[in-house]
This record gives sequence, C-alpha cells and structure tokens, in this order.
Amino acid sequence: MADDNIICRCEEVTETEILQAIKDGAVAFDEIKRLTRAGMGHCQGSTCSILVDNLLRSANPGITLHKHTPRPPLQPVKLEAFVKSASGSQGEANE
Amino acid sequence: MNKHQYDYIVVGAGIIGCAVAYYLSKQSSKVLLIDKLFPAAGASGACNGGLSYLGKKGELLDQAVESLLLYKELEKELETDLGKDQKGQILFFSDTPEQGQLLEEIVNECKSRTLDAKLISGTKVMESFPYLTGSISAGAIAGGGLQGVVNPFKAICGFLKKTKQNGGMLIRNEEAKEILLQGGMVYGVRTNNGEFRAPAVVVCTGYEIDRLLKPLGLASEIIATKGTVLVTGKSKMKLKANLLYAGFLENNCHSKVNLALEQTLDGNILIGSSAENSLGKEIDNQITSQIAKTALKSVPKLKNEHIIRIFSGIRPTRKGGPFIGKIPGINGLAAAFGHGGMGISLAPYTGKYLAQLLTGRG
Amino acid sequence: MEYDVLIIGAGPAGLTAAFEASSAGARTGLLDENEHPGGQLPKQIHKFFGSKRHMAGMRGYEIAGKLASKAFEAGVSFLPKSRVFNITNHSSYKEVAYIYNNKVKVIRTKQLIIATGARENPLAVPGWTLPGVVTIGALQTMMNIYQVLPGNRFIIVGSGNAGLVVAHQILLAGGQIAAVVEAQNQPGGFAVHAAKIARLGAPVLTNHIVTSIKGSQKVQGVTIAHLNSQNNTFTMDADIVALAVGFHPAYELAQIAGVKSIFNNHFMPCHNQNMETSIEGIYCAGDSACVEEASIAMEEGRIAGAASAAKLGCLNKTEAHVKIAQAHQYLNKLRGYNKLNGAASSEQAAIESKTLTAAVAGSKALIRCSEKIPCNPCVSSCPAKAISMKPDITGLPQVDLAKCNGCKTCIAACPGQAIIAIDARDANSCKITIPYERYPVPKPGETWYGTDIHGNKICKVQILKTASRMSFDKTILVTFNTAREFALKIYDITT
Repeated sequence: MADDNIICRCEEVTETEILQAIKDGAVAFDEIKRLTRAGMGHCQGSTCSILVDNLLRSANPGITLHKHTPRPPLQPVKLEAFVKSASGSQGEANE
Repeated sequence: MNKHQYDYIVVGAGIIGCAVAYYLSKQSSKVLLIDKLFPAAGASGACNGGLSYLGKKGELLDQAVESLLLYKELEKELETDLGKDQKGQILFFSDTPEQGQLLEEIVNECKSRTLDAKLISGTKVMESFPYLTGSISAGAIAGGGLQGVVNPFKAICGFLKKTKQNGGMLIRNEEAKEILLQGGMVYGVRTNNGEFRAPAVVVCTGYEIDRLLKPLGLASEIIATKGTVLVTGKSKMKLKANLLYAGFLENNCHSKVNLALEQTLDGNILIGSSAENSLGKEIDNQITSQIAKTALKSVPKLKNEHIIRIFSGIRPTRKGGPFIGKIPGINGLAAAFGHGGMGISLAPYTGKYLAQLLTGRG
Repeated sequence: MEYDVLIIGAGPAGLTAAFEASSAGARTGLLDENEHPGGQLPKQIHKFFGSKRHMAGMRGYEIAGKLASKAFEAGVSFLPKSRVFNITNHSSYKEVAYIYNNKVKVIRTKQLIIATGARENPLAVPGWTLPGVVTIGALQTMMNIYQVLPGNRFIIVGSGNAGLVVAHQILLAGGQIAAVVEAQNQPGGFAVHAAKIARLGAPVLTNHIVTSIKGSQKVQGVTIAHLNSQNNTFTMDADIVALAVGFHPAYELAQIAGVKSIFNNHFMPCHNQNMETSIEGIYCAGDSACVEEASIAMEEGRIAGAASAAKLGCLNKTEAHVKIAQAHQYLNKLRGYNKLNGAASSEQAAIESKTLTAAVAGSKALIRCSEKIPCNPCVSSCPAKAISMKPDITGLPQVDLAKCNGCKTCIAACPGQAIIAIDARDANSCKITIPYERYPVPKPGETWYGTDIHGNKICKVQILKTASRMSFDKTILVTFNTAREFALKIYDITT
C-alpha cells in the first residue's frame, strides 16, 4: 500500500498514520479518531469509519469492533439555523 | 494466594488516570492502568482542553497554577508534542455591574499571587476581541504563557508513552467491577475479565466513580454536570483569545448556558457551553438552540460558520473542589475525582501530588 | 404531540410503513431529506424483480410513485426536504430535530420508525481520491436523475446487482464498459443481470481485483491483478472508476437515539421480530436495518408500520399479528432462495431444442432464466397460463409449449430480459423476437447482426418488425429473421 494513501479525506489522514495508531494499541475507531483526527471533519467519519474498521480487523483478526459514535447534526449546518429553531415551532407545518 | 502482580492499579484512563499512572511509574513503581473502553473515551475526550487559572480562587487557584507550571516542563519531559497553544489568552467579559464586581474579585485573587491577570474596560475588551458586540461593561484578561490550550489526547498519549517506557502497562476494554478488599485492606480489582492484584488501587473514573465507591459505603458527593459544545468546521475567523461570559461566576446563576468560545490549532471553533443536570449524553435541542442564540448575540459573525459536530460531556463536579488523596478507612485505596471543568488543567498536579502521597517519594 | 407514528426516510420501507400506520388510523408523518418520495427508487430505470405484491415488472421510479400515492391516499403527511439530525428519547415521546429551509425544526412523536437506507462502502485502493472515482450509486444519480454521463470508458469495481445494473445502464447511455472487476469466481449479482451486460460485450473479469487507480490529475486507468496467478498484473485505460463494493446500513440516527448495535459483517441496529430496536417505540426497517433489497424493505416497513400502530391501539392485536406473520412468510421466501441452484446447462440446452421443435407449429416462448431468484412476472403476465413455477416463487419458470400461444406478453414482462420467442414455421429461417431497450432502435427492413452470449457478432439478421405497447412500458419487441442454424445461438442484436 502506498504510504500516502488517504483514508480520511476530510482531514487528510493517511493509511500510515492510522496503522501507526493501531500499532500504538488503539482498538476502536473512536480512539483512532482522537489520535489522528480521522473522522473529525465535515463528513464525521461516515466514509472513513468503515475503512478504519477494515484496517483494525486486518491488523487484529478476531477483534471486537466498536461502532463509531455519530454526532448530530451529521452534516454541516449553519449556526444561525439553530437560532431560528424554536420550541414553538412544534406543530407548525413546513412552509 | 495473594501474590501481587503490580504495585498500583489505576482505574480509568482519562487524563487524570493517565497522569497518576505516569507519576507513579516515574517513582519506579509497577503500574497497571485499566479502562473499560480506551484512553480519553469519557470526559477527557469530550472537552475543550483549556488550561486556565483565571476564575478560580483559594486552594484550587494554587493547584491550578502549580499544575500549569508543570505543563511548561511536560512537553520536554514526555518527549511529546502536546498541541499547546501558547498564545492563548483568557478573556472574560461582563455586561452588569454585579459581574464587574465578581471579575474584580477573581483578578485580585490572581494579583495576590503575582499572576499576570488584569481588569480591563469594556472598550478594551472589544479591542482584544474585535468580533464581540453588545454593551460590554468590563472584562478580565490573563495572558498566555501559563494559560492556553493543550490537546488532551496528545497529553494522554504522552503520559501513556512514558508510563510504558517506565514499565507500566495499559489494558483497554477492561472494566473494573469491584475493588477487592480483605480485612480493610485493598488487594486488587475484579474486572469483566478476571482479577488483577495489587496492594494499592487508585480510582480515577470521573463521574462514574460511585459505581466503585458506593458498594464500599463511601459517598463521593459527585454531581454530574453535562456540558454541550457546538464545533464549527475549520474557520477563517481567527480568535485571539478564549472568550468566556462572566455570567457563570454568579452564584445564583439561573442561566444554564453561558458563552464560551475557543479555537483549536486546527481552526475549529468550539462554541459552548451549558451546565445541565443530566447523565445522558444525548443532545438537548433546546440547549443547542440557546447556545447558538447566546453565541450569535455576542459574536454575530459566527452566523455563517457551519456546525459539523455537537457533543456533550459530563463534568465530574464536586462541591468542595476535587478530591485527590487516600480514602480514609480503607488501606491501599486512593482516588482522584471531582475536577469539574478543570480536569485537563489540574491533571499534572493531581498525578504528581498523588504519587508523592502514595510513594512517599519525589 | 404531533404524530402517533413518524417515519424517517421515504424509500420503499418508509413508504410502506407509513401506509400501514396511517391506514390503521395513526396520525402518521413521513420525513425525507429529498424533495420527492421514493428513496433510491426514482433513479432505478429498470424493471424490478419479484412478485406482484412487491410490484415486480414495474420500473423503480414507477414503484416509487405507486407506493407514494398509496401512502398519501391513506392520509400520510409528507414532510419533504427535511433532514433529521437529532433524536432524543423521552418517557412518553420521541423528539425529532430536523433542518428544513435552513431552519431547525423540532417535532414530537409517540412511535418512530427509522428507514434511512444504506450508505455505499468505500474502497481505499491507492488513487481512490482522484477525480473520476465515484461510487456506483452516485454514478447512477448522475446518469438517471441529472442525465449526465460523466465519462466515456468505465471500470466497475464489483459485480453485485448494483454494479451490473448500472453497467447495463452505462451501456444504454452510450458509455463503454472497459471491465467489471470481480474478486469472486462468479458475478455477485443475479445471473440475468450479468447475462444482459455480457451479451452486449462487456467483460466481467472474475477472480480479479483492482490494485490501484492511475492518473495524474484525474483517472486515466487502473492496474488489475489476477488473484490466482502470480505476476499477472495488467493495466486498463478508463476515465471513470465506479466503486460497487457493497452497502452498509445508514442508521446513525438510531445510534444517536441510543439504539444498540450488533456487528455482522457490518454494524446494524439490534431489533426484534417487530423491527423494534433496543429502545421501546423506535423501529428500524429496510436497508437501515440490514442491507437487502426493495421487496424485503417493503415487508419490513409493513411490519414496523403495523407493529407501531398496534402498540398505540390503532390496529387490533390479532389483525397486526396476522399481518406481521404474513410479512415474515414473505420475508422467508424472499431470503430463502439459493443463488447457485440454477438449471444445469444441459437441461437448459434440452429445453431450448424442444422449444425450437415446437416452434415449427408457431411462435413459442423460450425462457433463459438460470437462477432460482424470487421473481415471477412471467407467470402472472401469461394470459394462456402456460408458464408455471414450482414449488413457489423461487422456482425456475417452465413453459408448457402446448399451451403457449406465442403472444409474447411475457417477453416485455420479464425484468431480466431473459425471454425470447422463436417462430420456426418457415423451413429455412426462424423469426426471433427479443426485448430491446436501447438506441438506436432498429427499423423494419434493416440488416443488423445477431450476437452470441458474449456479444460477438455471429450472423446477419433482417429486422422484420418492432412493437411497442403501453403495457410493455418502454420495452420494444424486435422481431428479426435469421438462418435456422443460428436460432438458438443469438442472444441479442447489434448494428
């Protein structure tokens, strides 16, 4: 595998960096995310979590994988959108 | 039967547990560190990594300053880049005379220890933080150097790296279920996988501390306070200081949400924060909305920033400040918990102090 | 409380769930991030496999329309362009936050069904970040929704149904398939799909993998390796590489709500027989529960819709029980087929020569369906009841040549384009009728070529007639004349 093969496109984290984290003992995507920033970007790991899990599995056959923790809002949302929200909007139809 | 495998078992690999393990291993003790998941899986991995003393008083302020001084040396000592942002200033701003009064008190507290903190006017606050709008009455600022930001994951990595070099060991996916006692003496820890033996156990499991201490009849007095933070993508805005609204200093503070802004070295802006009485990590839609409102009221320029992640963490708060020490009545049991929002700042102090206390060395 | 049952995702699972809940009398809302309902169905331009119950024989986008109108007629309120991003679980309700028109909105529901579909698997071979590497679903969206063919020469990585179907659609759109590359020793998708592209000359390279994607600024080609022989690496030019390496459940919202996961090749949400997850009142259905196909998604949606309505008392327990049990029976059938159980080629050869003999008396249908997939539009379309399947929908179709009157209805009905008709009344030549769905359309009087099972030209054919009817749904039946010796060797035609 090429050293510079990118696994997390959002944060440009390479396969080498992921493999190093695994070598250092990381056992879960969420841990590798903290160590390498893979999955910290705009898509929040929706693509690279699968790839990282594959790397974890091939490095440790038989490993029990932990599902990555998705966080709201899943896709980028402008801050002002949250302000416009109101509890009073309940029941209000989409205009 | 009781052949001890380790000198110390540290339960919980958050920043506190890792610091404790590191300083213990430095005293040539054989240390085992276990975590039910992996390092920084809990509060240490869901915080802003702020290093600060401004806003603290009394003993806590002394501990914070001592800890921050330790951080200055740690990068070299751990041979690890801690992702420290040295330029980081802490800037408090207020909009009522009562808050101004409180700012004066905390600044005086710092000044009496010759710390670089000062009161500034509202105009000066705006100059220091040009994105800020509104009627700012006063502010307090404390310079970089000691304060700033550290990357908690990198700090944890550094502690772990050195702990291992000193002969210590970390086991992941190992959940402590019970502290093993015999005749008032600790002899180990029972986990989901088996037993580990040591004459001394240090419990550093944050807000989950009661799970291990309660069965021993101990009360931790811990209050779990949830905080929620909104994270932007990499921003073109450049924040010159970490900004906090002084509202949180008020004792009778009714507002669950007080603005806190901080920018990571990567450019993401963390927008917080809340103090919610909840143990769940779910994101409360009302709180999210309140944080957004509060942020935009003071810093309207944030409105076009994209939020890529909203997360919450549980602050392990304790009324009388953190507990760091031996647990009375049980031989060999020690704990460090209740650091509230100060866990990252206080970690080196906690580790060093506890190691000295337990080993009698250093 | 605004809704009794709220469904996230208006694909086949969500639409069916919404219909069930709403027809039981529950106040039902259906949220989707897209403007139109249907999920992935609107970009499926091929006819679907399956049975009448699941609208087999119809094209995907028509199924979307049909499911949506059924749901809307049952009183479901549809909230389009609403992307859900947070779910919180409370004792008596679930709170759902979504973005609509750049505003956050919050609604509450008693029961929640998550039917958010699947996400495509990535494949991180070196070069996968080059412009020109796309996932198969994205490519299908570009072609079939936006009418954009993004390149000329395509490599498809993976030969599951998605890879095969889109490869066929690329060919229909005028693109060239350099190769479909498959690591296994046979195509992963249905044999009829593989046959469709094979007879148009597109190679499926089994036992091969793509080891890297080449190009400086964009895709220029790939390196391919044979799995069973060493040093057998070669390159192939292409300007688009489409990754068709499977899907995984997209159930992040269920996770945010706190639903437990299990790992079975992929992570998926835990659920019981009623599709209810580890959190009471939160259900999952369709690909977000486990990646399968549209008929299964509909049945799971039916279960979740009925179960949630029953829990609220909108549907009586016995009725719900019957509905759910019946859906499970269909699920078992849909899942129970054995892909490799096709007719042996010698048996098929015997059927073909028998058909040719019978065709001396007049036009007869010849079915080239080699796999026991759960699909029966041929059976239900035949007005003479000449086609049967034993023991059930997963059997192979058999033509009773005595009953077959040569009406050719089944040819257009077969979603796999696996039926032709042979008329051998003339002593020297044969009239053959095939289904045809691409450009150019042959005109009577023209001379074309007949092609074999691999797409090679083998003989000249005279186009006799083309027929298109409303009921054929855009499939054209082309009848041509050929020498009798080629009658059973021709699989398709070309200019």
